[in-house]
Amino acid sequence: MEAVQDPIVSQAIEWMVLLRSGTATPCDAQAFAGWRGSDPRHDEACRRIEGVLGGFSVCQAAPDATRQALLAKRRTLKLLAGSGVVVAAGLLARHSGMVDALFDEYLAGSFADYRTGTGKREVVTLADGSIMTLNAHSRADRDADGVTLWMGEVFVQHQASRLVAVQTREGRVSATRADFAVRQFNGFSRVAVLAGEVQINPVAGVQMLLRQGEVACLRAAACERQAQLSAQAETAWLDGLLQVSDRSLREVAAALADYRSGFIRVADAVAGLRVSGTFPLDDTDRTLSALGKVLPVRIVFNTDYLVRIEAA
Amino acid sequence: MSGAPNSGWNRNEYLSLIFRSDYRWLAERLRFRLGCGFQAEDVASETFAQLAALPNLEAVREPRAMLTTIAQRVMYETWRRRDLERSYLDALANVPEAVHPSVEERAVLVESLMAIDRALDGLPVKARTAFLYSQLDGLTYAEIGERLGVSASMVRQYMAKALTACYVAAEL
Repeated sequence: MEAVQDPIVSQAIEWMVLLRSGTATPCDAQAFAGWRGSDPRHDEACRRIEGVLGGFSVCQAAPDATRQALLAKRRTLKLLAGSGVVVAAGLLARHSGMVDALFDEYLAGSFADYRTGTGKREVVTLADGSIMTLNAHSRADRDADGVTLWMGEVFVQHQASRLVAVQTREGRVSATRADFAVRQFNGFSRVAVLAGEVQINPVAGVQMLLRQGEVACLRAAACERQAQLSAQAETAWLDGLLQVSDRSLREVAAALADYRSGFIRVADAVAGLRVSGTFPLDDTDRTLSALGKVLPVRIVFNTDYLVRIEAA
Repeated sequence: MSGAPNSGWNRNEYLSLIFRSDYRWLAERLRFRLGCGFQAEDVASETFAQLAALPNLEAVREPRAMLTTIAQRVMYETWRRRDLERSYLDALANVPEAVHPSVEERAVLVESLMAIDRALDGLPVKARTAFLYSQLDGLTYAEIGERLGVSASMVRQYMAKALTACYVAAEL
């Protein structure tokens, strides 16, 4: 908060504080009127504050709603709020790489209604009573009949008979009674149905029905069943497990990265190695070591923040 | 494009140069991220409008970084506006006898909430709460102090902070 140096402004504020206290006398009000009228600069200082307070007049009809809105928890990353904008912009402009990263993060839903951090899963109840579990490092926003998934993964357990939908960048997944998971990847999303059936509508493609046990890859132009994947394995994260069958090491590392702060770098030479098995997600150190035992790779821990997987 | 303009360029030339080389880049980028052409176009054009209004445009050395930064703020405000509106309407929905505002009234309301929110930005929660009790409910400092578990003189300090914030906000 900036300090205001101008003594006139300080006096105006002192008066206004006194007059609102509930202990001010009619004499005080009169004295204030006298002070205000004695110098146009006094009046100007008061007008300025009153101008901002004037915004309350339209809110007065519903004081409780106004209070609730103004006291609601603010979204994080207040990086650019308020008056510091131009200064902050100037500083950041010198680090455009950093700005880019922040921007991507920002647009990927940093302000989302539902968010989970690294290594955290969270269960929330949606407006219609459906229960939604967010996988680690996920972001979603409430919308009219469900959520918009910005990044990461959600699992929806449908409780009511109303339609519930998950919107991804590539399309919309909706159901009236089903348990299903949706994950947003870079350029496509993956849908897995554990119970019931869901409808998938690609933004520019033909609608498809996906049944219990099935997994599909959703792209903007089309949706495709993936017979080699099992819905059970795709949703093993609900139990804190990573269950893969013939998956590339790079993909496995990406899944583990959601459960670890810092980076996992996979050397190109080993990125294509195939991995099968079930690994604990909540103890990634152990999982990484296990990978080092079953694959011809070496796991190098450069501090907790950077792990490199290289050819042994 | 990057780098400062040659000396002697005027502001409009520089602006149109940025527009030609970076507008599409920004719009595409927003479209990719937001997945929705409409909103992306809105954010991109508002971003350019704000860039054009910068007093020291000539000092901008990396237009893309600056555009990115401004776009962030535009998005932040869009989201903040939506949050305020949503919490307000949610709260209103819980009051059975409340009169629900029309679309026009709602727009005025949301702008007022935004202005107050901007003014109170950075104040501690207790100071905000105290100020709102005074402003919305007309409670005395003794009453507010009782509700917040602080002394009346503390409430006095909160009020001074909040009113100062209002003064500063009006200056911008």
